[in-house]
Amino acid sequence: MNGSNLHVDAFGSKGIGLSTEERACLATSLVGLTSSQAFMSAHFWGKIATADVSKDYYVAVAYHNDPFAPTIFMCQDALNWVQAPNVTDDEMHAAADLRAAFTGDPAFEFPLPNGAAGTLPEAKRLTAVVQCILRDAHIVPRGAYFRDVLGKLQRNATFGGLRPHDVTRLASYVHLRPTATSDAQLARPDFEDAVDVLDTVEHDQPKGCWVVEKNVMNVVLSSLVWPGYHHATSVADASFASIYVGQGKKNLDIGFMI
Amino acid sequence: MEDVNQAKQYLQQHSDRTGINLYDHLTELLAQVLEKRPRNPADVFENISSQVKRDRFNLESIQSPLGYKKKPEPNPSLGQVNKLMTVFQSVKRSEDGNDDAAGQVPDILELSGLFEWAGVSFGKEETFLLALSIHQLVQETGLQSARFWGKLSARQGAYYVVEAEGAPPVEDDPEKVASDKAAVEPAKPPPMNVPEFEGFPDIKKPVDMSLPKEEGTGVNKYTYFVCTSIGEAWARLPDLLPEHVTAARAIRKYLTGNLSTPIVSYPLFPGTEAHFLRAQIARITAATVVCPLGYYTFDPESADEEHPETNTAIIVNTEYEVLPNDALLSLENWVHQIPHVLPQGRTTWVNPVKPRGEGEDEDADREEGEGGDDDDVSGDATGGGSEREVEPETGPTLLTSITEDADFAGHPAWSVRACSRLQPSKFSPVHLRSNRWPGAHAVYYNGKFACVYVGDGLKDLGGEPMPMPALPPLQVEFKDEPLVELVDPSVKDEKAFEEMLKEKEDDAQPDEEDGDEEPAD
Repeated sequence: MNGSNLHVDAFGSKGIGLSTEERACLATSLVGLTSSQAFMSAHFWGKIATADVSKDYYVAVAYHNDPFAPTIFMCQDALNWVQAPNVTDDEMHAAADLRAAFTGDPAFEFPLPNGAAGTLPEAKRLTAVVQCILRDAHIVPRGAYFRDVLGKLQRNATFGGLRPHDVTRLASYVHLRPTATSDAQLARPDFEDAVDVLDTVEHDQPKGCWVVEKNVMNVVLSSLVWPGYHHATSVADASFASIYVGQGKKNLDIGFMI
Repeated sequence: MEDVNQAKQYLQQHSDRTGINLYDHLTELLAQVLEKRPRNPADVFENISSQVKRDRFNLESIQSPLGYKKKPEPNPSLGQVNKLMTVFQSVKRSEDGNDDAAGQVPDILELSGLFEWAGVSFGKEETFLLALSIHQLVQETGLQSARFWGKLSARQGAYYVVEAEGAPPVEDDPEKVASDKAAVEPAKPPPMNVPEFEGFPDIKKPVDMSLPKEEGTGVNKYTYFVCTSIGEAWARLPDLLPEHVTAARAIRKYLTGNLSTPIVSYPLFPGTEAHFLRAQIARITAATVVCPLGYYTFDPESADEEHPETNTAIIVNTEYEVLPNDALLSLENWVHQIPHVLPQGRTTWVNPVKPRGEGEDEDADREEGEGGDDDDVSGDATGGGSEREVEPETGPTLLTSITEDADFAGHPAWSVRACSRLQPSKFSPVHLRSNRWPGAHAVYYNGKFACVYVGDGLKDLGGEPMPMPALPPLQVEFKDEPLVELVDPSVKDEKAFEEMLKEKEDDAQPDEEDGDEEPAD
């Protein structure tokens, strides 16, 4: 959406911005990152705020071919990217339950929540949080991805954007994550089996966990379960983007707050 | 001739499938060929013929069976755009150039450049519209000064908040501004026309235990205006009552975007979203609006001689020396600009017990180092001699450094950075961010500084689970003395007792005995 391919401007209504220096550093370093390991694409995923504002994490996500197998990179100065360590499923679940703030020191050990023994280093917590958000909150407009004849999920090059009357409806957005079946899709009047293979956002629990804000040029959906995740879809053309600027904590008390 | 006419008639027969006839078709075709004069017309003859046939089919006409026109879809944000146009057309520049009377508003576009360094940016166009809208508000309401306070996100939209000084006072009770009472008083029943009935006895009014609100000073020194989107009319938030602050400290709810939504919570919040919003704004302002050390100083004229520590009037220091940017990287050079809100909900303490004798000003143990507006100790009620003696609550005085703010969840309450790592420090703004209230930012650059808040209006939990309010204690069983069961008197015993009483009366007053005795039930 802008020349430096950073799409942050779409989220101005949420007060999110990057300084000129950050934009310059990110735009150049991401290009280097993409070519260094022959990724198909890499993009700026967001920022995780820590207790020390000078040590916030910048996170980038790079893909080879599979949209469900991202490689996660982090850095604290927007220039020197470091691959974040891999995590197991248990660690992902543990990270979603942690309430302490990130400290800014990647080696800091967090005690596991819920009385479990062991610790989780901050770098792994970062990976785990990013993967949780990609699984729970990352959304795309319906029609942007489709399953081709070979069963593979592909980006739809002919996606023309959502229709104006669809763009504010939650049923027009889907989670980009592997799903077993989506029987609920059969209830749609405009069901298409190539496109309706992902879960829509409409039935996310708790009800009301997505905030829809409409601007003049785009529609921004924000998650209240992972506060800080935003997704913007343009009403004029077919572009869409996601960003996360938050503390890396799941809102575990959302049931009391809505 | 006959053959020619017959041939012509044959050629003019209309086809029953498409309605064209060969005569007209050939006429048109030859006209086209003569007009366009293509090379090798005989070779392209079939193409020209099919082109002529295609052109005949007019998609634009509505009556044709497959004819359709694609209409442009109406832009769903048209309503919003119309409102924005009113903002563009509203601001009038006064012709005699007397712009100073228009009220002071800081240069919002310049400040937005500073905030962008801190990572807070609304986009240039939206910031410009916001600036216009604020100018319009200042002009219409006749404010003395106004500043953009921040943006609070809500479940349906958001609130833009403007902090203003010098707003004309609202006529009367806050009940008129936003619906205050959740319960409507039941209508009095019409007086009954029963003779000898003098009406119900007066219901004692419940004693109003609420503390008085601060008028025009303290938490209510500034007035706050909100609007849900730029272009909408600004709504004025009601003044803050102390009970709103204490109740807001106990609950944690998302804003909904509608000022009159009731707050459904436990413990009960005495008000609507407008009051909750106002309370959160007051807490955030008191905790996070900061300024560089030395910029403000206490006003010597308004100092109270007896209580110099309660002076809250601050004025711009005329002898201020602009500090370089890296001096502001040390937290000691930032100080609080707004008086702290006590646990009572006010900035100056008021004795909740109606005083018999005025006067003792207990300089109770001053608790320095308590920067958060929660957890401020109000002093142990040691009881002492008199029963309801309440210790006055104290908090940090104005213009104390933010290094005195209590640590939060093991981290300092504030963190600071130079926004630019790569440029020399005199070109790098300084960004200060609060950990207690995520979303509160302050920026300083070569003498200019500003604060803003962009967030959801809630305090950080600090790594703890959300505090659940304790239920009131269960009532206990009566347990002090052993229970003794008495025997119910039988009918005979009751009658004997009554007779005994009657005999006593008869002894006192010699009356005739009643013959009948009513049987006891």
